[in-house]
Parts: sequence; C-alpha cells; structure tokens
Amino acid sequence: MQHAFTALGKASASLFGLVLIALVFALRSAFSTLEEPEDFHEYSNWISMAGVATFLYFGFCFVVAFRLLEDATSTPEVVLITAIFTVLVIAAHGGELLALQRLVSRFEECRKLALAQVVLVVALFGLTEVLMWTSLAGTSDATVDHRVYLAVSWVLFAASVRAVALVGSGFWALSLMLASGRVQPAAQFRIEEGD
Amino acid sequence: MQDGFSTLATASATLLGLVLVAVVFAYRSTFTRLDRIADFKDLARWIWTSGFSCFLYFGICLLVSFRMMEKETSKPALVIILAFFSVVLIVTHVFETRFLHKMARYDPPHFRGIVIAQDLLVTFVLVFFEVYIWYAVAHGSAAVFQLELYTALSYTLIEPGSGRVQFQPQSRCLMLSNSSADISPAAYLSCAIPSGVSGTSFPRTISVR
Repeated sequence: MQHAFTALGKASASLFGLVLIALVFALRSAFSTLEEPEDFHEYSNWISMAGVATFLYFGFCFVVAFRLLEDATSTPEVVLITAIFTVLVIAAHGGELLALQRLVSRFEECRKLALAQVVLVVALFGLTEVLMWTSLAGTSDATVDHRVYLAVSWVLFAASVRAVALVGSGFWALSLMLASGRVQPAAQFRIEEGD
Repeated sequence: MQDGFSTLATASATLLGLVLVAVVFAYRSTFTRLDRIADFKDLARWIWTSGFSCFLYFGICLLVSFRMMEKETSKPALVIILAFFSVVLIVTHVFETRFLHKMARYDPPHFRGIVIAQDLLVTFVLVFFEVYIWYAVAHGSAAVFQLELYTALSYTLIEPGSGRVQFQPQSRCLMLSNSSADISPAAYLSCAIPSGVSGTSFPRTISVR
C-alpha cells in the first residue's frame, strides 16, 4: 500500500497548490472588476474563508497520507489530527457561511447561489466526518490504515468538486453583483491592468 | 502495476488542479472583455460545464487509480463508481452541448464550425471512454482487467484536455467578433479598434493592446 499512500500525498499536495493559484486569480479578477474597494469586502471575505476551508481538506488529506506512509501508523495520532481538523473546518465553514450571509444581505440576487453553497458545504462536511470517524472505528491497525486510505481518497475528490464549484460560484456572484447595478465596474482600472 | 497506477493518480491530480486554474483564466479573460455582464451568462455556463466534464474525466482517473492500488480491489465497487460517473458525465455533456448551442444563437454562421467541432469531440471522447472502460470491466481475469483498465484510463487522461481547451479561447474571440451587435466588447477594447474597422475583424486587433 506504500505506493498508494505516496500517490495520495502527492495528489493532495498538487491540488493544494493549484487551488491556491486558482483562488488568488479569482480574487484578483474580482478586485480588478469592481471600482469601489468596499464593494469587494463581503465577497472577498467569503472567497477567503471558503478557500481556507478547502485548503484544510487538502491539507488534512496530505497530512494523513504522510502518517500512513510511516512504518507503523499511530491510530491515536490520526484520531487527534482528525479531531483538530474537525474543529478548524467547523470554524472555517462557520466564517464562510457568515460572510456569505452578509453578502446575501447586501445583494439579494445571490440568495440562490448561497443556498447552493450551503448544501455543498453541509454535504462535504457531513461526508468527510462520516467517512473519517467510521474508518477510525476499525478493529486492527491494518484495517484502520486501509479504511482511512479509502476515506481520504474520497475526501480528496469531494474537496476537489467543492473547489471547482467554488470557482464557478465566485464568478457567478461577481456577475450577479455587477448585474444588480449597485456596484460600479472598474473600467478605468481594467485599462491600467491591461488584461 | 502499482507504479503505473501511482503515476496515473499523481498525473490526474495535477491535471485536475490545472483544469481549475484554466477555468479561472477563461472566466477572467472573458469577464474583462465583455462590456455588458448579461453577455457573459451563456459563455460562463458553457465554460463551467465543459470544465466540469474535463474535471470528471480526471476525477475518475484519480479515484479508480486509488481503488486499483488497494491490496484487494473490489470489482463491484469499481463498477458502481464507473456507472455513477458515466451517468454524471452524460448529464454534464448534455448541459454543456445545450449551453454551447444556446450561445451559438448569437451569431450562427460564425459559431457553426466550433459547434460542429465541439459536438464531434464530445461524442468521440464520451464514446471512447464508455466503450474502453466497459470493455475492460467485461474481462473476467483480474490481471487482464487491471491492465485493460490501466490502458483505458491512461488514454482517458490525455483525451479531454487535448483538444477541448483550445476551443474556448476561439469561442471567446467569436463572441466578440460577431457582427450582430448583440455583444459589445468592453469599453477600453472598443477604443482600441480603429474607426472604420468592422466588428468582425476585432479579434485580430486584440494584439494592438
């Protein structure tokens, strides 16, 4: 199984880095599209918090993959990592949903988008928690290793789906904000940026 | 085969992440080139669904590689995963094609080429994937099944990204260059077009900036 754990670690690390690049560019395009910085406030808070939550999922996957690569994986250590991850991810999702709620209170048009995001966040979080805690309930160390590997590979894919949805939603929100007519598009700034 | 599946998983993950970056760039460049936000809707939907279908192909390579690296791969579990992805892929491709055809209504003569190319490519990629994957699954012997699945996935990995991404920039140019005046390029780009030059020649003037 060493090959599998190695691939899991490498895959998580690649996705971790690439999602970071994608989010930086998503934020940059929002910044260069809106004229007033205060129009950007709620939107950037939401994207940042959602980005942090996504990184936590990928980070968790590669930390667990590294633990699985050890000669003898310590189950209590994996339990502790999962517990810390759970607390952090709840905080990140909480912040994300709060920022999203603030965005919706200013831009009513984003209500549908917010609903889709809430469903996605709850589904991802629920799936991760169920998979991880049921896999950690294995009887022998070998069983735990295999079940944790299985769970983490699914978490990795689910987090990737969420990342793709987040990028789409980010631009969707931006187009809704601009279409509302309550924000000023930054035409002058775009000339200077020359994108 | 463990090395093969390990490399396949790593490559799929990298490509999966790069699709995400490519979608962001596609959105970003379109966003700054269209003046009215309403013009962005159909193109954005098409980019997202086509990006998501590419993502699904890479995602299936990733997931199946992880399952194949287990000590004992459960064939029924693999069949369920493949069946689920097949259904989701078909649905995504249907939506993608629908959005492309909707977008093509802006300027049918200009979009005809890209619509035909995309329809053919989507059909080819989907049929190739389904036939090869289910042919591999139909093999009784575990060793042959493993080898056939590995071959199928390695070709699947190269297929979605090879031609499809190239068509997105082309479609953006077509949207801007349409002569129907339904879509207007962003103000700063319109300024760069010399007077007397028709909208149709617009993409060739992008380099002016």
